[in-house]
Amino acid sequence: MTIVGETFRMIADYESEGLGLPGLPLAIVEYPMGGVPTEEAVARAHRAYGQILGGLLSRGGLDDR
Amino acid sequence: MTADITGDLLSYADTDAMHDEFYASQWTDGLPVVAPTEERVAAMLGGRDGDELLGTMPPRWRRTYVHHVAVNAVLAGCRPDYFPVVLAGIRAVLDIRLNLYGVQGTTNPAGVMLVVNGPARTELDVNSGHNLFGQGWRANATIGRAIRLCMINIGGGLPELGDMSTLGNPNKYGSCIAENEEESPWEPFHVERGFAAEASVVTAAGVTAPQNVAILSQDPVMILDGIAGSLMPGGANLVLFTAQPLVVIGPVHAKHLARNGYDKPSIREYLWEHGTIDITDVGGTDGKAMREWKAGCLHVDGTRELLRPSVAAEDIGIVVAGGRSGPHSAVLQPFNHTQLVSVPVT
Repeated sequence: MTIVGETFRMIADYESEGLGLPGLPLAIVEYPMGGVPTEEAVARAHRAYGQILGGLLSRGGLDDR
Repeated sequence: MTADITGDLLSYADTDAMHDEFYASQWTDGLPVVAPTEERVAAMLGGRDGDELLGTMPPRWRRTYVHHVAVNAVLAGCRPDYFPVVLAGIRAVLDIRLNLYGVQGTTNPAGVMLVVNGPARTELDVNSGHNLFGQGWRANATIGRAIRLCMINIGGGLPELGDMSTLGNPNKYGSCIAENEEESPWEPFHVERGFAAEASVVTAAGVTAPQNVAILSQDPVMILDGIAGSLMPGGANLVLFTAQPLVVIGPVHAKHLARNGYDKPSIREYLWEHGTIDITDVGGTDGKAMREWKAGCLHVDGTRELLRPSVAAEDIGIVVAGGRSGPHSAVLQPFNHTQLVSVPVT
């Protein structure tokens, strides 16, 4: 799986499809990521934790491979 | 989503039908294209091995073969003798130092620009003089367009899919210039970068549109201060990004600078020193980004935090180009982690 800023969700799907990994699980986080205060970055990481865990534990769209 | 443009041979009742289908298939930049017939592609290849693999192009990561580049050069309207320059340009943009992955997918307006040096400039009539960023020259227009069409059709740089640019810029249709070596008082750009003067060389830059610097004075310090002040105005890419900018010095400015003893290295030093901005009082998201993303450019002077345009003065590329008619130069703002990449034309 991979972690993606929400602005780049479509390009992430497009790229993973191009790399032969259609349906690669994505954890979507708020964008932009650069320059946010440390506390906000930590809060975002906590919010993304569930998605990351779910992505790692699920075969997601890769089931057919 | 996008069909393979080098796949099955297609046939159309007329050129209007071809244009409509190519446009609907997202194989163009929006403008009509030249039909990539077998004969035209073969002529573009000129006996080269079309199966030579050049690399993979982001963000779609398709394998990029010489044949693919030839098809796109035909689509763009290139003459076959332009092809070696187009190929060198593609080799340059595929070099990881250019950061094409970032340039293609970013929300920034940056695109790719080529600078041609050496005999190819005159042999192919690549404009290095008046209006070189503008209309009127087939080589400039079609070579730059061929690079863009490769970035669309091979790399997958489709707006809102593989190209997330918020605004874009007109140069993204294609941008190719030549250095005006005849009007330059200094060593040509490619010679500075280690190539022989008689070599033809293409340099690729991941940059936004040229930002004009009009300085009427003949005073070299006024000219240099004008250019230095244009490197990091509020909101410019260089305020946030660590990268290699490109400065195009017009022949009028170059003449005044040379007459007063400046050469490219001393100009670079001046721009690096005087292009610095004081960010001591800049806070918030932007201040944090400046300090983190440009950490290698940050200098602390007592209690002041000074931000240089680039890590080193040598990072500033200087090209002399344009017509002799006016006191203009230009700054091209680079995308983040983008370096200038030079490749010889073979």
